[in-house]
Amino acid sequence: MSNYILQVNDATKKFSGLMANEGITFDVGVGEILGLVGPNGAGKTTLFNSLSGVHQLTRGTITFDGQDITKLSSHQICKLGIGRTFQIPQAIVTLSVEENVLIGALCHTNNMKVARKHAHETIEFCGLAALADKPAAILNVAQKKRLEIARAYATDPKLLLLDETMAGLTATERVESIQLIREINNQGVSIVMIEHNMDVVMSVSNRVLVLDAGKVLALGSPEEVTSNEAVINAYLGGGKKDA
Amino acid sequence: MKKLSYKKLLLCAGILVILIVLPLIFNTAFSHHIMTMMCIWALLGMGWNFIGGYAGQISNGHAIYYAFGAYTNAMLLQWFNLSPWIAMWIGCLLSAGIAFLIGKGLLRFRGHVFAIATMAVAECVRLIFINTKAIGGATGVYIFNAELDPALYMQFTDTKTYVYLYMAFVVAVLLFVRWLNTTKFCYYLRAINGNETAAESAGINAANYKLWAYMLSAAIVSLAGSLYMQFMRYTDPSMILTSNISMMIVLVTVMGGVGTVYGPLIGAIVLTYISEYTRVYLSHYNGLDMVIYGVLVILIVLFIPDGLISIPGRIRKHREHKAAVKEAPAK
Ligand SMILES: Nc1ncnc2c1ncn2[C@@H]1O[C@H](COP(=O)(O)OP(=O)(O)O)[C@@H](O)[C@H]1O
Ligand SMILES: [Mg+2]
Repeated sequence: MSNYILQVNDATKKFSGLMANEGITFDVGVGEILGLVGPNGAGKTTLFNSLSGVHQLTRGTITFDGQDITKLSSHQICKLGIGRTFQIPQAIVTLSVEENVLIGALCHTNNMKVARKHAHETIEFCGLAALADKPAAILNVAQKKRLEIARAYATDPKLLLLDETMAGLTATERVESIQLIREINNQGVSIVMIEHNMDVVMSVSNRVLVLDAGKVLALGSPEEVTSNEAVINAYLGGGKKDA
Repeated sequence: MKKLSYKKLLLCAGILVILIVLPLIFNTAFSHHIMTMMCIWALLGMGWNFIGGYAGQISNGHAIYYAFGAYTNAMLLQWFNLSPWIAMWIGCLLSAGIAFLIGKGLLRFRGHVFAIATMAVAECVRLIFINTKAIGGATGVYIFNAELDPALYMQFTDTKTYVYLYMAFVVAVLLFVRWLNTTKFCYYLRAINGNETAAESAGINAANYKLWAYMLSAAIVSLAGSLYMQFMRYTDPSMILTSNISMMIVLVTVMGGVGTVYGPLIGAIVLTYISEYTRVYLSHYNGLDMVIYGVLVILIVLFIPDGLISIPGRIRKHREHKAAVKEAPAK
């Protein structure tokens, strides 16, 4: 409908006195990768939780694919087409890796055969085939983060929210992860990714949104943002180039 | 592929023969009583397993639905002369309806809070039953009537008939559970049990699925209650609506293997056997049967936390481990 998959207007979230998000306005274009950066406690995860319906905004609106989703709950938003991963991986520990992805694949079908096939393809695509039969509980952090992406991607999202999927990964794992995110994006999925590693953010993102203390500090192309004085002072200047 | 289905057929035929022959070999009223109770407890366990096992919400109040099943049969017979063949399905619907109301209220709680809340509600329901004259109050209800047609009113004179009929119910429910186990419904319940946040984010309406699981669970337990009524022909709140019964329902499933298809059946067979025999053979020592029963249960739960159904897997693992240890020095 519109050229925007996501439009966020004046998003504000208050936790009993603490303003975790305040007046955040931005949009995500169809097929875009938007990097979301900011120091710890800036309110990035809180914003994701609002977008994915984990909690409701105190004020403001969220429009996804032309539809107002401000008041919808988590499972409804997933059904509409927003997939997300969690900063602290949320593996379904009672299930195997393949079954974890199957849970995502069941989002749009009741047919187990169709879902199994879709899960299988997603697992291959995400490079988890070798671990398919393993219990999700025994995976290491890197594998769990990848499983997060696979489960979310299996729900056939139009927009994927990735919360620090590369934190704690080795350099090689990070390269693989960037590759996977690019491939998912090539399938037409728009992406918002929270990421601390500035090299990653700058190389992958079309635009970057910088949050600080719950507010938008800057929004623009990677070049614009890195040359923004406020950003340099508040965030980049802190020598926090690599986590 | 064809050979496999042939093997399956043979297995089914074998099981069928065993089920038919068992009540004939152990052909006493006491043996039949035990077998009938095993069937009833298997149904109770399989029912509870949906909410307590698959969905992981430990309900400590399932005696409510056991009682509703039993009382529905009794009251509909008393008031409308209705056959239990119809009454038991009405009981299932009624129990599912009550589970809907209780579940709406309580399923928002998790873990211990849910366990205690269900226990408290069951206790309230027990008090209501005891104080409702219309359903017999503390005296309970009695349904035996020799003038009724035995087949139409499920009041058989031959105890074998109960065994066969209830076995058929167990097989039917078992096949249903086996099928359901492979569907989206059970995968979703397992996902909710494993990680509700992840489940919600993958498009699962956890509250809804838990409510359905709770209602289904109540309906199956209610069916067991109806069958219990037909077999015992008498019940009162102190027999059927106690926290003891609620606890036993949990125990049967936990002991056999929680969240598994066959676990509750195995748990029911073993627990009923132990409890009936300790009761009969140790009855002259007041309470000793309960002590031994309790100790056995503690031992099993302590040493086989995944239930009796996990024993073959444990033995296999142990053997593999031993083999690996033996091989290791050679390398
Ligand atoms: N559920 C919550 N309840 C209360 N405070 C919260 C909650 N979630 C986050 N916060 C607070 O909101 C602020 C932003 O946190 P968060 O969004 O996790 O930051 P980031 O992801 O950018 O590191 C922090 O001060 C955090 O303590
Ligand atoms: Mg965060």
